[in-house]
Amino acid sequence: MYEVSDKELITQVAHGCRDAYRQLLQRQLPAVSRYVARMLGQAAETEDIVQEVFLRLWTQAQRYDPALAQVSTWLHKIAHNLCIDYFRKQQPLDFEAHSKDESGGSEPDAEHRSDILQKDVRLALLDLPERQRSALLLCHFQELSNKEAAAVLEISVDALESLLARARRRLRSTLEKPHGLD
Amino acid sequence: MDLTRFTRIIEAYGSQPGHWPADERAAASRFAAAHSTARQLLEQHSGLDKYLHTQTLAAGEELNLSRLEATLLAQVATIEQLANINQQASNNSATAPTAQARQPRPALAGLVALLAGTLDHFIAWLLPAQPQPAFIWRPALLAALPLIAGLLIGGNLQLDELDYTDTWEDEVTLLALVPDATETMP
Repeated sequence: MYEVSDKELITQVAHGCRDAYRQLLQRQLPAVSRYVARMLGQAAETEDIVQEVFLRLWTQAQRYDPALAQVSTWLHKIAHNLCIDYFRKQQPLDFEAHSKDESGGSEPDAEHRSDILQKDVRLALLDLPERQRSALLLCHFQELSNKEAAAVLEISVDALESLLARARRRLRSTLEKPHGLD
Repeated sequence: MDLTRFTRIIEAYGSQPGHWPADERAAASRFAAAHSTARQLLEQHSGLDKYLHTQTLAAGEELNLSRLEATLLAQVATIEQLANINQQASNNSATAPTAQARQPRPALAGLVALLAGTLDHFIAWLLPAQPQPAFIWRPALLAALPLIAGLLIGGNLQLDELDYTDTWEDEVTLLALVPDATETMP
């Protein structure tokens, strides 16, 4: 069965087709919301930013240029810019609040140790500078190609690789302190 | 592919070939299979990738996507309705009122044209297209008009001046008429 492409759908959205909009929502909403959630941590504004991204899909669909980017890349770019705007308006992340120990001081079992490890990785990601975090999320978690991620961040692929290398070096350095990665 | 490029790829994209650039993936995989240094490098970076691979969103970070989708569809419907209302309003205003506005009332239009013509004539008289020394008095007269007007107004204005001398004399006279004025003084 023929599946309508994202580019065809967004063309229909630009002409006011709500059914095409609903289909694009179902395809793109999960990935974009995961990206924003990981960028912002547990910020209550995650939902607001995701809503804004997809309202712009409706109101600015005619500005999308299929020759320049995939629809998912375009949406990630909007999301990235909104996240950066959000960070500029906010105080730095309350790292202490995020890293508060919930173990109660007892010796953790294997399952709890896994939770702690997950939390450590999450905190280490949140501790990265925003552009490094975005680069890592786009390439590692959102599975965008290097060219697509570079387009989202509006940098060259070389600059993206430098950002990624710095991000991974910093993550290793942060995570090696309590646990080690061997 | 050489060790420098391979190292750069591993440092940026990690040890999992699925994350390497698609156009270099095959060459990098061959390079790793052929060089022990490359395999050591992969081993060094695999620890971080295992952690990243198991990383999931925390419970509080997952959004309720079905609710969010419903909210967005409702908002889009509202935006569309508002756009339709605005479109209808602009269509209505684009017909009758515009036609009326383009036909000014005859009496008002005639008055405006008369005033504009008079003003044009006056300016042409004051500042001729070809300036001549003989007409220099015209702008000079115009410039002096405020001064002449001020002199005329000042000369004809009747100000009520107070005669303080009369007032003082009246007061002394009234004081003299009081019988025991000196007795009341300390």
